[in-house]
Amino acid sequence: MKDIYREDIQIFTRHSNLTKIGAEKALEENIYNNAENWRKFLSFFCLSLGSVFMTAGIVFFFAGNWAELPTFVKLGVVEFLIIATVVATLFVKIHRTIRNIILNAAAFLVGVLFAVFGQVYQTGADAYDFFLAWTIFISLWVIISNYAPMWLMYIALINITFVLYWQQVASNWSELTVNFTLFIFNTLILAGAMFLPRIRNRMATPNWFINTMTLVSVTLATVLEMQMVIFNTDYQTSYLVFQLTTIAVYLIGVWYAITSKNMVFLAFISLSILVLSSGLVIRHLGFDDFSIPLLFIVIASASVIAMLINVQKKWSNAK
Amino acid sequence: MRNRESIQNLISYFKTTQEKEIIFEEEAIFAAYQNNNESHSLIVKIAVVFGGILASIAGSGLLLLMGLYELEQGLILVGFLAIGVSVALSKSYDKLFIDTLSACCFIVGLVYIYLGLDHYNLDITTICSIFIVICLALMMFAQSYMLTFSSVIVINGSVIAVLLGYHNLSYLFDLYIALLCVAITALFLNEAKIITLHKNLSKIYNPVRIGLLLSFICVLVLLTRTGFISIRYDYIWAPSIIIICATIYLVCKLCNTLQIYQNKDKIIICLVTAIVLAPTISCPGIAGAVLIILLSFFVNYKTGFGAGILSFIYFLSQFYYALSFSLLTKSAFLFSSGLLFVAIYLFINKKLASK
Repeated sequence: MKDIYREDIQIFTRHSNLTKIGAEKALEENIYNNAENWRKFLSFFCLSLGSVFMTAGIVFFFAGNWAELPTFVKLGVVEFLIIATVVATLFVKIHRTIRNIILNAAAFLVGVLFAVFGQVYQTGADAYDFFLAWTIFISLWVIISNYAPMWLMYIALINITFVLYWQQVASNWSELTVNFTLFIFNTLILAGAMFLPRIRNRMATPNWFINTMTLVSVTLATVLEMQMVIFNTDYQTSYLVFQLTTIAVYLIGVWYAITSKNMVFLAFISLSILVLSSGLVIRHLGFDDFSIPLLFIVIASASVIAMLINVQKKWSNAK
Repeated sequence: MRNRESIQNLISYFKTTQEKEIIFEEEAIFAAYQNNNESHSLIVKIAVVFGGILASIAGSGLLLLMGLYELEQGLILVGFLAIGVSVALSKSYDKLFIDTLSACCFIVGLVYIYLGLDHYNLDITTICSIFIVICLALMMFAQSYMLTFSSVIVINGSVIAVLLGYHNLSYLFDLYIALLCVAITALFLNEAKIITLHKNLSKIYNPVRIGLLLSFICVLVLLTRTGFISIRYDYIWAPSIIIICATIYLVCKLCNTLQIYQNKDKIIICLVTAIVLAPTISCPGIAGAVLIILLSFFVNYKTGFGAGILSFIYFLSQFYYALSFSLLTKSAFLFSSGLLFVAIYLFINKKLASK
């Protein structure tokens, strides 16, 4: 029978004399993975573990900075591995996902190559230009493979490069400006990931990617607002731009959540607003008597939870 | 929510699953589905738990501000009262929101009892033992999801506190990890037996499973982070061996699923598993995460699978800091394991192609 869930079996064990054999049969037929799923999983699991362990092994090897190894060999080994993995991606007949996993390993090795380069020529492993070069040199692969884990790695690299550039070169930029830029950048990526595939009739971006980017965007916005509204005492006009933009993005987010019945957006944004409003109340009322902010937090949290549960109930009934 | 027709279909399906005649309490089943009209997405559950924790911290702070901290008996009394309220709440309403609220009440109650008992200068073992007794009693009487889950987590926390509170007991920490490993393996692989054993066991199965799983990951994290806690690392291989044995046992069961019945093949597969996992002997976290991933996939438990993958990534990154090997040795371990995995992958694909 189709559509039997674990919960059904549990309910039936409570209200019938279903025996161990019956429950086991129901679980095996409907819930547990069958031989075919296991074969697919084991194949994917072994290849992923293999490539993760081998890449980690290479990273650990070069992190050890073995002095007896000549520079030529150090750089040569990594370059050889990059060439080998890329050639395998291009010419060996394999499934698309496996091809992408191997290319992802190659993209990681480019980072290792720059790290080894930094180690040999003493430029330091956290120099921003090292991350910039890594980002630039894998760009083509990322675009061509269009593989979500690779995109995530690429976006992380851009963020890291930007933060390192700020710390090492443009130290006159304020922390707020940096956070604001990161927030805008990640939000644009999120919007792109959601709408570009629709426009170009491509396969939809996986949900986990969109959820991760939503979490990143909302966290950055929350930190930014906390810095401006709660911890900062001297107000500047640029804050107005930052604040209006954040409010606009949140409004668009809520509008999108309501029109497309997207629970993730609604939950993240409401929790962010809960944290921010609690912070505001603590800042303005908390210094004399802490009981009002505490009472506020209790009531606000309960209201947000009740609202989320109600909305979900309504949406799932409407579906 | 299921309608009458789909429930009838389920009843006729279950009749085919066993030879022994099966008697259904139809009205009770309909009622169970009527009450169970809440299916929340993971994100709502996380939001509810987050909000609940925030509310309970603020609520308990509020009570303390009102001067409750001064009265030791008052604290203990309010603590037990809060636990009583939590049980009453979970018994009367079967809703996620109320359930979370009752779990928050329970945690706040325990904090008050702790603060109250602290006034009497009781040692940590006594306080933790009281907690464990309260939690066990709660698991028996109130079978709600969040309360049972919180109880499992508190019991685990109490056991860890007792084991690490005394330096001479720290060798038992390894034993505790091994015990947790055996408990989880048994719980995952005997699902049908456990849920049909008793009505209450079927109710608390899910929260106990996730509670034990998180406890297991938690003790592995404690063990892996060198310098985080003061335990001796002389016997770090002991829990690893148990984890590896559990994995081999699982692989044996898996052979049946994969229709591998010849003993020779089974022995080879078990040997390969042992060889692949052998390098993790000084790093039980990695072996533990692999066990969690395999167990969760075996019973198709998605939350456990996700937790397994995340902990695997974490433990692998922690392996970098393991002090017992040089980076070069670690690199050799990782690279050779990687090669072995790729070899297994090629072998599996070749076998599949030949079929």
